[in-house]
Amino acid sequence: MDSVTDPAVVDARQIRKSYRMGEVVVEALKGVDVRIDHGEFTCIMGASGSGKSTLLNILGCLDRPTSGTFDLMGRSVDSMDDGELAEVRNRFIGFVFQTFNLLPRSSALQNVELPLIYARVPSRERRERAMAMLEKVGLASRAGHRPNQLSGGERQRVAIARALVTGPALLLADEPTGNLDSRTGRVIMDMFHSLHSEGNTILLVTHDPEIAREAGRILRIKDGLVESDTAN
Amino acid sequence: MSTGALFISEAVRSALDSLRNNRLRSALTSLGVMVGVTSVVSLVGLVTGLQNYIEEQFDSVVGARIFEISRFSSGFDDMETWLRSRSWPHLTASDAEQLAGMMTTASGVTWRSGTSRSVSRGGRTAEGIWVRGLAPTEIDVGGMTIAFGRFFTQAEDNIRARVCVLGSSLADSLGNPELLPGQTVSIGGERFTVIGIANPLGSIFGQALDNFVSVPFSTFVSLFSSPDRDVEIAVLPLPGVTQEECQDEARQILRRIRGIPLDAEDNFFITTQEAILDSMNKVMGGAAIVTIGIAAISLLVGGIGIMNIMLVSVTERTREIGTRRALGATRNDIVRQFLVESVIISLIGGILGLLAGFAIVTAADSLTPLPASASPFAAFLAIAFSSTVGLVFGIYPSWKAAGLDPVEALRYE
Repeated sequence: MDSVTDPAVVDARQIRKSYRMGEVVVEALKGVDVRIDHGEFTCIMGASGSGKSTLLNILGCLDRPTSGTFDLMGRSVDSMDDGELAEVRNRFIGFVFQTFNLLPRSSALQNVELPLIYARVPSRERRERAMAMLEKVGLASRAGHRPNQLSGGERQRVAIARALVTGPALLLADEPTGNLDSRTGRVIMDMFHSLHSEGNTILLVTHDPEIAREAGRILRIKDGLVESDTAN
Repeated sequence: MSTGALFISEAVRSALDSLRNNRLRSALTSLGVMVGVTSVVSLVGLVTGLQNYIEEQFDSVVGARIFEISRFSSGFDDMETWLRSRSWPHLTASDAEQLAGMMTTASGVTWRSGTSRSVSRGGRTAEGIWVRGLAPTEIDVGGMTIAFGRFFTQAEDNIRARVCVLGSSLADSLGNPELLPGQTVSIGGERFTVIGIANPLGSIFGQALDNFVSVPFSTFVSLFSSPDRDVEIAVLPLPGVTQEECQDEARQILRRIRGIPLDAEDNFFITTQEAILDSMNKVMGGAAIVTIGIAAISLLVGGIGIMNIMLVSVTERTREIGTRRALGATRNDIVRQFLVESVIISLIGGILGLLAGFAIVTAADSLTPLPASASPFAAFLAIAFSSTVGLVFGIYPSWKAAGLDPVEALRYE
């Protein structure tokens, strides 16, 4: 793929999001512009309540902005229905959560297969692709283990394999090291770096400046607005 | 394989996983449906068994072609019909004799009356025995066959002979049946000579049919009854004659004998075995409605149990639902997942209920006199009912699961 002629992975303009909480209308986002190109490793930083999670949810097509436009890979998602959004999440976005969110009763392999099930991939191909992805994160030997038989770092690696198995255009990670000790967190961050070097586009949310410093670009969010957008 | 079928098989696998992980809960939930299906299967088994049994009994005991004529309807009729029948003239032995003389399409016409007396021999007494006054033609119509000795003759009837034929169970209670012909018994204080023992008829609905003594009709009238007593007439059509033709002839003759004007209705009833079966089936139909009612209530209760547990499951798995949505599950995927799960819980209950029901039916059949048979229809009902219950009561929880906001669901603790 030629990244120069590619449309931006994310092109969001004037994103606003307000919630009604009882009588009060809370403005979580007040007009945010974000453009992320192919192959970028971006960190979103912000205090709790800054609106960074809301932005992540909108960019992950889990939530819709109150106003503004959002193009993902050159396609507008603004008027997509629920089924189309589900397909976009499935094919273009890989989620990594702070709490891993693995299905507790399914094996590592079954967890990695899950997005492929929703992509209607036949079972044998599904198994092969999921297995290859577990190999990539170094857990092929743990394929049959359930999450409670895995360490925290191993769980997050399974989650990363699951996020990558559909070959998404954008990897979204919400505090991926937040529940890990620093040594394990280091392993996970190294994995993100290696994924980045392979050409993956990564958007990582954190409040840890140490981690943010590792990214190529830092987007600071404060009170629902982009406070700064700096390249490292 | 279509993608839909592919996905259903995944949903089934995931549902089985989830049920395996909540074994006790799933089992208890299935129990409700199981009880409902067990009751349906066993009741259907008992009712169909009883129906088959009745049909067999009618064929073997009375013979399918015989029809009966009496003043009162032998079906299950309303009060009004009964009151009307009461105002009609008695259907007497004299009517029957004239009918017998005039019928051309019947191979046999006979008539019967009965009353209850005690019967004794030596020191043994049987109380409340059905004393039947039978015309000698009874044996032509085939209502009775003789095991030992003989049936009484026209001559014996003419002279009001004090001879009798014993039913097999009465004979058993009075002595050795083989040795009884020639012996003397007392019927209601009158001395009779035993000339024959009838073959056993068995029983209908557990009611013994062989606890009787038969005497010639004219003897019966002179000792236990009066000539104008109501009789029941039985007619066996000639081979090659349809029941309808034979009934029409009997009706026309009886109307003439009883002097009914052309435009007036019959003042007697003709009852075929089919008509009796029909009214039996009406009663069975009533039983079936009760069965359906019981089944509906227990399946409703089972269904509510399923809905309840599915709602709990949806709440417990809110985060899982959020995760699945983030990974690309559509609302329909979520609906399907939970629907399949609730159908499977219900279906497991249905299959267990089917097995339990068949076990009960088999046990009832072999351990009690009740005839029961497990039918493929009952199996079909069990599967159809339980999957419908699972589907219907799974709709709301599934809809609730699919309606969850993915963002909220992911945040759910």
